[in-house]
Amino acid sequence: MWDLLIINPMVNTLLYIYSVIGNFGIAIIIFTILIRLITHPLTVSQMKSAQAMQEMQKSKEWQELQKKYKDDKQKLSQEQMRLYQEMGINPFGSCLPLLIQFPIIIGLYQAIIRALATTPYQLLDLSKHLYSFINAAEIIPLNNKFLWMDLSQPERLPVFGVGIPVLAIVVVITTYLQQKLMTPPPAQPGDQTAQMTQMMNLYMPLFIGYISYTLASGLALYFVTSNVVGILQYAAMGKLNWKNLLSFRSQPSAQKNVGKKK
Amino acid sequence: MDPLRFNLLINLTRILIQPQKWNKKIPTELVFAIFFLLVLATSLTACSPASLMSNWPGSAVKDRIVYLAYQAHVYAIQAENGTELWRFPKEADNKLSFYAPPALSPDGSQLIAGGFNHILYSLNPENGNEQWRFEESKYPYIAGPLITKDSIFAPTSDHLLYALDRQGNKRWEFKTGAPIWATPLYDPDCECIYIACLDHILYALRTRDGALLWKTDRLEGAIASSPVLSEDGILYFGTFGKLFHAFDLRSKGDIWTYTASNWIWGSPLLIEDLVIFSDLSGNVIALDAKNGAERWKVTTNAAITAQPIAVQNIIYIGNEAGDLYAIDLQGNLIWQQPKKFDGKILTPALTADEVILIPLVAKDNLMVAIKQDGGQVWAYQPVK
Repeated sequence: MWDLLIINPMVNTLLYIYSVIGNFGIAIIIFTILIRLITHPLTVSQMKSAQAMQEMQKSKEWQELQKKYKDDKQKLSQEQMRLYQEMGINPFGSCLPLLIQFPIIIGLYQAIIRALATTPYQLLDLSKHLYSFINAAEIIPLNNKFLWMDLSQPERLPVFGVGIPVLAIVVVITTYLQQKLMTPPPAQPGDQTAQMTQMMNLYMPLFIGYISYTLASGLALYFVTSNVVGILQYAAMGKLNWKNLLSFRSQPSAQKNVGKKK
Repeated sequence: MDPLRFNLLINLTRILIQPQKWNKKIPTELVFAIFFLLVLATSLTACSPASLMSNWPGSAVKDRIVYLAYQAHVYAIQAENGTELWRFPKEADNKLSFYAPPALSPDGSQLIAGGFNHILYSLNPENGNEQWRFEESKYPYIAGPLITKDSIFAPTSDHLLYALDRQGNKRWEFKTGAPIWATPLYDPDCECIYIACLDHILYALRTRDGALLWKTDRLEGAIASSPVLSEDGILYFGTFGKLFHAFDLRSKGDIWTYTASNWIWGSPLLIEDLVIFSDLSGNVIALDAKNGAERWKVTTNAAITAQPIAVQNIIYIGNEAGDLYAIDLQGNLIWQQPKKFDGKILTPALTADEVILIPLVAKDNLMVAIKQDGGQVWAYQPVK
């Protein structure tokens, strides 16, 4: 089912783009943009949902609930749920797009590896998943070279005999930028949530960077493209949070903002 | 994702976000973000190149000893009873696996095996001790090497063919346009080798210095297996473009072609006046070697990538479903039902003393020896 619904369409779309363009790196970039465009409504919904949640958490009613039931977690949860319902906010609304992304990333990685088919066993497997409109005999083996990279291998740019993982570094930077630019300021700065968000902003880029460092560079190319397109999407909607980018210790500045509002 | 891994992730997520530890309500986005990271980490690791490197066995036989290269080792196995004589390396190294079939030198003093770790090893066939290694390739060895009296020709997926002397010193190299998955074929008449390449081209190189003697135009598909040469100078090979070629070395052109219904992967077999090959639709096709006329066709239930073998004029060929077929030269099935194996048959069978040796892609038995009536003689399962 996974193959039928996710992998096969991805592999064949990638190969189709490759058959037209003739360059697998560019095929990955075009494919990633395509995926981001298809999931654009989800991105918008995630953004709106997160924004609504932020607004709600800044509301007086929410703050009062926190104070009133600070010693009764269960009651606090119930009241918070009630507030969610009253304000018509789905607490899972901002999680759904994240969940949708997850099969896409895994599917895309598998699709890239499957399409590149660097071993006979993989090629035999690929031959069974091709749609009839793909002229596989003509395009196989794929040219997996893109710029200085072999897209089927982890990327290293040799500089004076030392392999520098340039793409992995770019992945870390763009993931960090994306997170910083797209994360709204915390509703209650200094609390556990804000600290964890800050932690995630730091660990997520490192984690994605590590994946890019160790796995095939085709995936790293996807991450970079996806990050850049994500930033552009938010920029087009006028939702980039430039202040966040410069605040390495978000707590004090965020606290100031809240203070002003009060 | 399997349920075990899923449960593990759920539990890890719970541990990471347990409320008593953090003492505050954790937002749902963070729960999902952590869960997402864990799932992503395990899923990508699970489908990383290392785990996708499922390969198939390559084997060679000489003097009643079978040499089987598969996964982490090269094994030497006694053909009459399946006893393991030695393995290389003695302890599995997770950086080393073997895809390429090993090759024995004509004098039997060297066993050459290319690793997925880009290293070509020369082993002593008697005990598996390493004699030398060649480390210049930057990419894995998929094709088996060719060994002549004084040279070793080792194709790589680095788009290169290395020519070495028998001591492992490089003599020359030849660059192609794509990885080479087929063992070169030696032609003593021209003192040259023929290289079938995934770049859709067949090359002829002079063995002495690697000079290109000629090459075909870009053909309709990649060539994944070695051609076979007839006594009258015809090269037979198939491509992923579904065409089977009878290529005349004198005119450097096809004397006939045959269109199969799917990719042609395995090398053909020349026997009497027939040329027999298979395709990924599971067809075994016998053509008149002179004019390409179809003599018979047997359809099996799964893809065939292995070259057929002949033992006493009976053709044996296995498929991906693990079914072994025995067919006579008139195209009649010898067994009413194919012999079923617990694994995939993707590489050619071998023969030693009328025993047929079947390399398997399987968890347990890596090789099974059968008699010509299909009865099992032994099964080899390496001790972990």
